[in-house]
Order: sequence, then structure tokens, then C-alpha cells
Amino acid sequence: MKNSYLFPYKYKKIGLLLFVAGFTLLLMGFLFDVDVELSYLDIKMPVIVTNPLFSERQYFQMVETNITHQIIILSIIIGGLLFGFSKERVEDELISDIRNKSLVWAVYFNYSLLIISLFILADLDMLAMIVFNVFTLLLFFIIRFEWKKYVLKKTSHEE
Amino acid sequence: MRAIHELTQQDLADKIQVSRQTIHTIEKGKYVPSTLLALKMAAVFQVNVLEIFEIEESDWS
Repeated sequence: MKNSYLFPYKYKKIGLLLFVAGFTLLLMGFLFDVDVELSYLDIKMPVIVTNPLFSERQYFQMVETNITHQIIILSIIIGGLLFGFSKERVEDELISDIRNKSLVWAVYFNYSLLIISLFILADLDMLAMIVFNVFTLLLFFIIRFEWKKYVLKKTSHEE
Repeated sequence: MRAIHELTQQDLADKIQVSRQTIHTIEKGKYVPSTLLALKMAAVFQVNVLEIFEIEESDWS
């Protein structure tokens, strides 16, 4: 029980902040076509492989790119991990049981959705789905875990 | 057993470092605690584990 692979409780809030901020920006950019790119994030970045749209794949290049999306993705993933995998205020075996079950549930749900998408989406929409799938596992896990904790709290308050 | 010792769910929870919700679900029979937690509860009440927990017929299947 000592080695639980969890972050300290204090990271929970900062995790939520990063996760929500990142997701808001991502959805604004993707769904509502808001330009979230900041011009001062245009940088030259060293990459190992790059495959430009109209030319051959190149190796070990400096590419000019805007890193807004890298930062947004980083914020969602780091934030989600911190929020989902920080200890609770009272971290006990019931909470770890709920966390484990939520994780299993989220993996099943996430891949079920992906399998369904294979048959009902095509082309760019399928591509968008796969992009979103980078975050949905974390998202479903967090929603399920928080919901189960809420239900637990509510049922034990009723008497 | 908790009532005899005049402990609230919160008191017992604090003594064995779990949340009040955990005590609640254990008392409701909805959650089976680990051996360690069962031993801790027994230690608080200064009784044998078998005096507060019992195995049921359905647990065998």
C-alpha cells in the first residue's frame, strides 16, 4: 500500500486547473474555429522526423512551428494525470478500489466508443475522433471517478 | 459494536485512518474491508475480528 504511484493531494487543484484550461482552449480551437495560436509561440524547433505536406520526409531538421497546440496538449495530459492520480484528502482502500474500477471502466468505455466510431465515422471525422482519443481515456476516467465519489458521498450522507 | 463504544462513524474512521464513507459502506455490507482494516477495527474495539465480521454463505461461491 505504501507504493501507490499517486501524487500528493495538493496537486489535485492545479491538475484540475490545467486540465480544464487546456480542454477549453482545445475545444475552442477545434469546434468553434477560434484562433488560439499565440504569435509569440512561433519558434524554430529541432525535430527528429518531419513529414511536410508536399515534400519528402526529412530527418533532424529545424522546423518553424507554432507550439500553442503542443502546450495545450501538454496542459491537458499533465493536468489530467495530476487531477486523476493525486491522493484524496483521505486516501484509503475504498477510494483506491473506486479509482481502480473507474480506470477499468474508462478503458472499456473509451475503446468501445472508438470501435463504434470506426463504423459510423469516416475520413476527417474519424481522424478527429482519433485525435480526441488521446484525451478521452483520461476524461472518461476522471468523470467516472468523480461521479462514483459523489454517489458515495451522497449515499453516506443520507442518514 | 460502534454504538457500545460510543463512537461516531467519524471517530472510528479517524482512529483507523479511513474516510467516514468507508466506515459507512462497510457497515452497510457494501464493501468488504481488507484484512488489515478489519484487524485495525477489531483492535480499536479490543475484540477478535470474528466478533465483528462473519463470512456468509454467498461468499463461498
